[in-house]
Parts: sequence; C-alpha cells; structure tokens
Amino acid sequence: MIPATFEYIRAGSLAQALALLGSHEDAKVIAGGHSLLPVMKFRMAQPGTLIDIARVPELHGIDRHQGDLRIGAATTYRALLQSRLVSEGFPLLHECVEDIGDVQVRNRGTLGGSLAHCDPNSDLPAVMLVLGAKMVCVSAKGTRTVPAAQFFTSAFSSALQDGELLQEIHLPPLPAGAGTCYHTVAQAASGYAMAGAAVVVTKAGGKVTSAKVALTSSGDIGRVVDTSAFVGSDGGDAALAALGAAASALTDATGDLHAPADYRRHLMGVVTRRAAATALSRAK
Amino acid sequence: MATIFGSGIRRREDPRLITGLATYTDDVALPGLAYAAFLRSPYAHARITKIDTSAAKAAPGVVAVYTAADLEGKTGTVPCAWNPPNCDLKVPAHPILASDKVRYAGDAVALVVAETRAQARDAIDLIDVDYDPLGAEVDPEKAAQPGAPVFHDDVPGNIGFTWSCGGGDAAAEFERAEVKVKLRIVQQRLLPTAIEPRSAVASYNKGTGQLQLWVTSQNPHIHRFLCSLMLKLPEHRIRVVAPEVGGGFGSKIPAYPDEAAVSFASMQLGRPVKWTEDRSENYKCTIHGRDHVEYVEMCGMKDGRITGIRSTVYAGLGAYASTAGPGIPTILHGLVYSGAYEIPHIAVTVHGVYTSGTPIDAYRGAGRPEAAYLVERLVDTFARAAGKDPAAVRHLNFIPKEKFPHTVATGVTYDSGDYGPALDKALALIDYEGFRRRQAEARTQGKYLGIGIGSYIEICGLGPSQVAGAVGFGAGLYDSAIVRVYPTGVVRVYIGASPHGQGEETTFAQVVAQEFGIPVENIEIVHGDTETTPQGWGTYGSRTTAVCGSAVKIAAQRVKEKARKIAAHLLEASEDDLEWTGTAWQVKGVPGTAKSFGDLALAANVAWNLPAGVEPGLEANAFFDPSNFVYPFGTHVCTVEVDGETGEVHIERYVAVDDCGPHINPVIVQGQIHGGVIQGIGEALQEIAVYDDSGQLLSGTMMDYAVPKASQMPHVETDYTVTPSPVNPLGVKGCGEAGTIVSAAAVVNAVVDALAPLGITHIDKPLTPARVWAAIQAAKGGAR
Amino acid sequence: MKLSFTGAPEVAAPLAVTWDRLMDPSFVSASAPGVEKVEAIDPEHFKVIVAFGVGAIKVRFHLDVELFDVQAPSHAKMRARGKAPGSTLDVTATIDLSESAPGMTRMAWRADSDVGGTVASVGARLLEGTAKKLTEQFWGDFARRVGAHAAA
Repeated sequence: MIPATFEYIRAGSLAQALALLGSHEDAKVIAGGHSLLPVMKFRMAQPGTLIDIARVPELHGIDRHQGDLRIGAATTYRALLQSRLVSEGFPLLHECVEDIGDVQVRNRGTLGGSLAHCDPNSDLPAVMLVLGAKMVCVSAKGTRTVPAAQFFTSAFSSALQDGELLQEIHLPPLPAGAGTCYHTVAQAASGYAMAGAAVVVTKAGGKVTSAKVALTSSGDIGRVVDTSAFVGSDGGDAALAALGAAASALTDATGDLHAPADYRRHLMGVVTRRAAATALSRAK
Repeated sequence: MATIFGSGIRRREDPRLITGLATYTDDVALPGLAYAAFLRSPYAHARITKIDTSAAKAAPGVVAVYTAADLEGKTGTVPCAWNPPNCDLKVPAHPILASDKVRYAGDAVALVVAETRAQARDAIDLIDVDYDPLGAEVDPEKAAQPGAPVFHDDVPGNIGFTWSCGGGDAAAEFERAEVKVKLRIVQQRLLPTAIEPRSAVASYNKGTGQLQLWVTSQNPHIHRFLCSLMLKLPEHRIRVVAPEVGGGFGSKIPAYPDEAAVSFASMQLGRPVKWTEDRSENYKCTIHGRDHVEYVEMCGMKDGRITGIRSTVYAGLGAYASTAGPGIPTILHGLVYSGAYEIPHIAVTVHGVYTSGTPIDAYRGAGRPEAAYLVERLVDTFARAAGKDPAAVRHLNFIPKEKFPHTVATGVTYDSGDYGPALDKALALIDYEGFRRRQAEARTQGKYLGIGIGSYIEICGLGPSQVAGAVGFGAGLYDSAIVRVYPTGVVRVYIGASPHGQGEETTFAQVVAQEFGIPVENIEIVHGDTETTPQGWGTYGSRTTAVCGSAVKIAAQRVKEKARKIAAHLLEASEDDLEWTGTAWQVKGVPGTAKSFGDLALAANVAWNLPAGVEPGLEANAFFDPSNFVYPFGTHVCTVEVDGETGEVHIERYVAVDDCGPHINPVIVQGQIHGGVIQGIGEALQEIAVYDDSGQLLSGTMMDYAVPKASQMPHVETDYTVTPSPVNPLGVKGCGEAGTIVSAAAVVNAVVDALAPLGITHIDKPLTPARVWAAIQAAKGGAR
Repeated sequence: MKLSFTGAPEVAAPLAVTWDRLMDPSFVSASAPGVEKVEAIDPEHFKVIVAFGVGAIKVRFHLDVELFDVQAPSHAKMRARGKAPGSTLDVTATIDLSESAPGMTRMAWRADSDVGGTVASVGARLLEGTAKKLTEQFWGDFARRVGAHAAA
C-alpha cells in the first residue's frame, strides 16, 4: 500500500492551481483524496505530480449568489452538513451527505471532488441532477457554466477539459413547497448504494405538478428517469409503481459481487418508489 | 478487603493500547534495519517458467532479492502441526518461496530486501516472472470431484484426508426414524481481519548465532519450535517475542512462510529485516476460516426426540495444510455434533480437500461454530418437520444436568452443564410468547418477523496434553506460570500463554491479587517472550484462563504456602496454627501477630532470618495440565424483521445467555461475548470471501469484504448462568469464542423463521439483501 | 475475473477490404484504446504495450499476442497473455466476417477475458463496465474506420 513516487504541490490560489495544471503534464488534482489515494496505493494510478487544491481559498465557501446557493468545489461534506443554508434550503443535499462514508471521510471529502470523479456509484451526481445544479468550470481561459445534465458524461468521465477545474456548484432554489428525498440500499462493505434514487416533487390539488428523479448505481452516471407519466398523476400506488418500473428499466443489466443484475434492477424500482413516496409526503 | 476476583475493574492494558503508547511488531526499530517485501503470485495455480530478478537487484536501495533457488537446501518447509489419527492425512510440501508452481493467488515467489520500505515495494514491480496458468478450483466439493485440476502431484484427487467419527448406529437409526430432515449447507470462507496485520522483524547475530524474531503471534513458544524446523536452526538459538498483538482470531496461530523468509534474509545478511503485510496481503495471504460444503441430516421421533445425526463434509484446506488446518474440521468439529443434546446415533465423515485458495486454519471458534451452526439449523428444520416448537424440542433433547459428567456418542465427556435454565432465561428476556403473538399478527399484514434460537456447547480450554497427543496435535496443551515476588512486595507473573486483546493482564492480576491480598497495581503480567516466560502453548481455543490462569493460581498458592512457612518461623508458631486473613498470615485469632504479604516478601528476599531448609527468595512456578476440556454452553435468541421487497434483514433484538463458569471480571466476559456475537452476526449477514472461477479473490479489500461496523450492529443483551467446571481450580470454562459459536445459527434461524410462510427452509449465509431477495423470488416462483 | 463480450457491427466495406484491414496490425492498433507500442515478431506474433484506463486509473500491460486459426478472408482467432505489475490479463478473441449485403461486411466478434491479480481483487466493481466500454469502443471504432477508408 505504498504509492509510486510522485511530486506533491499544494496550490495557494486558484491562479496558481491553474498554472500548475498547465505546466505539469502527468498531474492529477487532489482535494480530499478519498478516490485517488487508494488507487495510487494499489499502483493502479501513478501520477507524476499531485496538485493539492484543498486549501485554495477561491474554492471554499457557501453563500447566496444571484438567487442561487453557491458552493465552492473544495467544500467538505462536513462544511455542507454544518451549513444552515444547505439544511434549510436544500434538505435533499443534507440528507444525502449525512450518509456519505464515515466521520473521517466527511471531514476530508469534498463535494467538487466527488462530482468531478463521476463515479456511477457515488450519491451526489443524482442529487445534483434533480436539483438542477450548474457547474462552474474554470481554466486559464476563463470560466464556463455547465448544467449537471451535461457535466456527467459517462462513468468516471466529466465535461471538464484538460486544464480545467471545477470551481463552484450553483444550486437554484427548490420550487415552492417541493418535497425531496434521497434513498438508497447500500452494500455492507463500502456503503456504496446498490441502488439509489434522488427525487424532487411538487404537488397541488391532489396531483403531482412536477417531478425530477435521478438514479445512483444504475450502471452509468447521470441517468434521469422520465417522469412525464408521473406528473399529473395522483402519486398513488399505481403511479409510484409505474415510476419504479421506469427506473428499473433504465438500469443496466450488469451486476457485481453485491447486487446481481436482476436484483439491482428490481431494487432500483423499490428505492425509486419509496423515495418518491417519501418526497410526496414531504411536499406541501 | 474487597473481593477483587469477580470485580468488573477496567482493563489495565487499555490506556496504552488506545493512546498509541503500545509497541507492536511494526514499531520495533533497530539499528541497520532493512525492509522486506514479497512478490506474490497473481495466478491461483500456475507453473513458473521464468524468474528474472536482475532489474530488481539493480534498483535503488535494494540489498538482496531471494527466490526459491536461494533457499534450496538451506531451509525446511512450512510444517503442518496437526495430524489427526486414522485419516491418512497427506501433507504436501509447502515451500517457503514457491519454486516450480504457485498454488494460490498470493503464494510468495520472491523476497526483496531494501534500505527502505518504499524501495522494497518499488523493486517488486521490476521482477519479471512468466507463468503458465493451470486450472483453478476453490470450491472444496468441486475440487474433490474427478476431473478437477490437481494441485499437488503427491495428492491425487486433492483429498488430503477422509476422517470419520461417531457412535451408535446411525444408518440403522435413519432407517427406523419417523422424522428425517436434510440440508445442504455452505459455510463460506471468512477473512479473519485482525486490526493489526501480520508483521515480523528478524535480527540474526552472526557472532552468537542467535536469531531474535519479533512476530505477530498468539503462541510464541509454538512459533519458536516451528521456526526452528523452517530455518534448520536449533530451538535454543531462537528467541521469539510477540510484543503487543492487535488481535488474531486464530489467524496468528500458524507459522507462515513469511517470517521464515524474513528470518532467512536476516541470517544471510547479518542485519535486521522487517516486513509488515498490507491489508491486501492480509486478505490474500493470511489464513482464511470455515470453507465447508456440508450434506447433513437429522432424524428422530414425532414427539420431537432427536435420535440421529449424520454428515458428509467437504472441508477446504486451501492450497497447503496450515499449522492446525487438518485438526479443525475433524477433532474440533466432528466431536461436537451432539451439541447440547443426547443424540445416541452419530456418523460424521469429513473430506479435507486441497484447493487453489488461501490456506484455511483456525478462525474464532475454529470448527465448533461450523458444528453448532449445522446442528442448530438441523434442530430448527427437524422441529418444523415434526410440527413442534423449536424451543420445546431443544428442552426435550437437552442432556439433563444430573447426567454430568456425560459422555456423548462421539466419545467426548462433557465436564458439567445445566442447559435448561440458560434457554429459559433467554426466552424470558426476549419474551418468546409475546413475540410469537406479535409475529402472528405481523404475518396477517404481510410482514416478515422471525425469531431464531441457538443453543450450543463448545469444547474449549484446550486441553489435556495427553488428549492433544492422542488426537495428533503436535504440541502440549498444558500451560505455565512463574510468580515472582520482589522485596517490596510487588509481583511479576510470567506466563506461557500469549494474550493479544483478551484482557488477561487484568484478569490474571485479579487472580493473584485475590490470592495475596494486594492491589492489582502491584502486579504485572509478563507474556509473549520465550526468553523470559516458561514453556507454554499460547492463546487460542478459549484456553488461556482455564489452563494458564489455573497455573497462575497454583503458582500463587505455592508462593503463599512458602510465605506461611516464613511467617510461622517469624511468629515462632506452628504453620497449622496460622490463618490467612485475606492480606496476611497471623496466629489464629490473634490480629496483632499479622505478617502481611509485604512483610513476608521482604523477609524472604533479604533472607536474614529464614527457617531451616527454606531457600531464599519468594517465587514459584506451576505447570497446569487439565484433566479434561471445558464445555461452556448457552442459548442465544435473536429477533429479526425481513424487508420482503429489498431482502434487507433488520435485527430487532439479540439476547445472549452464556455459561462460562465463574467470572473473574464480568466486564471483560461481557466484552468477549459482545465481540464474539458481532463476529457471528457478520458471518450470518454480510461476510464472505468471494473467489472467481480462476481462483482470484474478488473481495480483496474492505470495499468488498464486509467486516461488521458498529453502526450496522444491534445492541447485544447479555445474561449468564454460572455452572463451575470441575476440571480446573478456577472453575472457569472459557468465553473467548463462546459468542461466535452459535450467533450465526441464531440469526439464520430467525430469518428462516421469518420467511417460513413462503415455504423457505434454508438460505446459505451470509444473508445479504441480494441472497434473501433471490430466495424469496424463488419461493414465490415455486408457489405459483 | 472472467468477462465475455460479443458484438456484430456492420462495416461499410467489402469483405476482402475488411479482412485486409483486420490483418494489418498498425491499422488495428490505431483503434485500440491506450495502445502505446506494437512490435511484430512475425505475421502471427506481436508484442504490444497497452495502457488501460478509466478515470484516474491506468494499468500498463505488456501483451504477447498471437493470431491463430487464420482462415482468410473470413475467420481468425487471437490469443493474448499480458502482465502488469501484480496483475494479469488473458484474452481470447474470435472474428468471423461475412458479406451482409453487396459491399457490406458483418463482423461478428467475441472476446473472452480473464483478469487476475490486483486489478481483479481491487477493481471488480469497475471492471465489467469499463471492459465492456473499451471493448465495444474498439470494435466500433475499427468498423467505422474501415468503412471510412473504403469510402475514401
């Protein structure tokens, strides 16, 4: 469990981080390190240089910005959990982060690190998708904003280009009266979801008026369930079952040690149904 | 003075263990220390066609690279120390470094020694080995079939032994019995996962010809003996030190090729060499536990009386016969098939099978949890077939207390027992009747609630040495202590056993403190160094307190008797006229005459005025060899709710009622039970070492191997009955393994009970959500 | 860890052209993700260095590749044994070409891989999806390029 030799540079500013990224070919960016360090220790990754952005001031902070919640990419899970702007404005994010890893992981792991890593078993991408997050990407050339739906391109692959860093995550306010829920069934060893669903719904007059549903561990990253049939329904058992079936159908027929394909597909339906039911019960 | 024996004082060893002040093997720092790393086979079974170490030898900091060719003729092989009689055990050679073939993914191929740990690791990647892959088979039942790949030329068919035991006439009984049930049970491979991985530091002095080996060992004297065989170095030139050891669960009993290779390197180089495995090596190269495929049957009468049990077991040995490997599925497994019951007809057949997996050896409980699991699964299955309540069936078949000592059909004699009260207490604590009512109501709502009972006995306190010899265990099973009293009345106790987390620095001090009437603070327990401690056989098999603790008590009594002689002399009284007050010897009924333990310690050590014929000093030793094993027992009951949609199992309550005789320290007993139960629940619900068809360990990290975490586990409610053992002076029965013995059975019984309305009769552990869901689907499909 | 994948893309090129491309190691390797070096020992044997990667992970294998059971212009098999520090890779692939329409070729392929060592015991979670993606990417890209060259 000893990584190959590498150079370590801690960036003191965003400008320095971007300059380093431009001048080191074989470099990887590290923040919390929870995904990168283990594979380095197994020598399945052997970057020549690590650029540590965990202490770059421009990548920290949670505040309101032009109506959105603005979160610096290097914000730790712990900082998210301690933020009232998050727990009151985005209970879905709070609920999700509460369950990530353990105390040590939450103390060091960062929101931006998880999102840029694009692990299809990671919880946060689904949450970002249903919240309609916007990713602010920065490079030496300037910044650009990428909606979550375009940011997660495929498993372990994001829209970030060479020389680009994820700088901020912007969350638009939830619709008035929205109910949210993130629900997973995790495997016992790693705590990764075998299946998970993030849901945002609104209702009025006994009808579902809007719904966004995205999945965790569906086989690829960024899968969003078509809710057109669910919207306008009464959100009752039949509608929930149909929504669950849609989530199952969207789940790849590949399994792993913990969740064979048939189980995973079935489970995706169950967690989606349950998450939607809970979100509806929370909607006002 | 307050009674210290039986008091739940805090563990004295904990402050240093939990504040980073303890010295583990990897903490040993020596001048000139070099570091070792192993190149290990990525293939499960392959012929080595080329090894080129030239690039590694030329790498920065590399001191030496060794392969099998370098060891040729200079070292022995890795021994197997348990050869059960009458089973034709075949022990193929286990080389320290693989020569022509590798036999499991992780088999050591080369050793690099370098100036730093990182340089040693870097150089490993520069060794070029060509392999010609051969077929793999990790499943012991499949490896025993014709056509399976053969792993050792001298073990055709891979069957290492076929062993049987029993009594009565099981074949005839199964003919005439009214109720018969059978199960196929897979007891999965488990990874012991001690928090401290294995480590060794070898320091050979070329001048004196002495080797000092610090090693993560549960039994340093056994390690000294086995290392002398592996290194062809006489035993008196080897000093083995087991410093602080961070858990073992059986995995630090065996001798491994690793410490031999590291010692060989030190002997060649004349400088100290350290190696510490990383967690990946720990999972691939440290022994695994369990690994049985079992065909088991039980029979009996419609009234619920059990009359017979028989089995055919395929027990995986792994790639090589590990130190105690063959003894575990035989002696420690087959002999306890009677469980807590009178079962007149028993027939056990065990095939020990070589596979292409990591070697199998002792894991907490070692053979006995496997037996308790199959017996208790069968009892529940039998009760259901007979239409009887599972608790009632257990009661009906328990060996009655007036029958002890009792010899069961397998031939072993249980020392003492009273099984009914433990079951009753457990049922009362969990409100068995109330639960059954709640269960019936829940079933009407489509909910799956279940209750599982596990009643067990275990054979432990290993054991009489004569029996060890008779069952082919290549060691003694007595243990030893030296109690040495210093002039100021403080005491050091040197013991042959080697505690590594069990708390004997506290409990043994309590035994001595009780004897001498002095504070535990005045007593130090010294263990783990063959240079200073008397010959003993280590800590495993819940033997340390029953056997070594008894030696401690006897040695302390000898010291006290000598002190009495000195007291009588000083008081000019007859020894018979003295009485022990709890802290001093005094003339009977004359408090003013009291000679405290401290007074007598000084008198003995300065020797100014001793009675004629009494030697100076105040110390004594004792070797205690028990007359029988001890047989702790108890009943665990567990209630669960199963989510029928997701397959998740939620444990509502877990109640453990154990009888391990008197408690020297009830807090430590409770801790041992808690730990054991959690390991059993982990086995029942989530732990499994998964291999693929090519013999690759897929669950090779903690991301995939589910060691139980505190947040996943229920609160464990404990209670006790106390039935002293007659076979040792403390009356204790051992509690180190007790919690593990029947906990997996209790949990699985509860889940099967919950799913009984679906017609489910068995699910193999671990009961992961996916497995439970699949069983429910299969049952629902079958009902259609 | 054993992985098997199959596919049957249609190539917009005649069978003979497709076959020639298939037998051209430099053309084939240009489609294979991560190929760093191809050294032909003889027409049937090659030494290949390839770096497989996903996200931050990159494992560099040295492969001995052998073509066998070659039946021009429609059938061939390939066997490769590779090693990386601590890991192994054994692959067998079969290719069958047939004319699906005039000027069009159906390329049916099957690849059976066995991954061992660190990559299997650590990366099982990522392996199937990644291997599938890389394998399909390879055959898809190959088919596309053969078609493009034929049209050019």
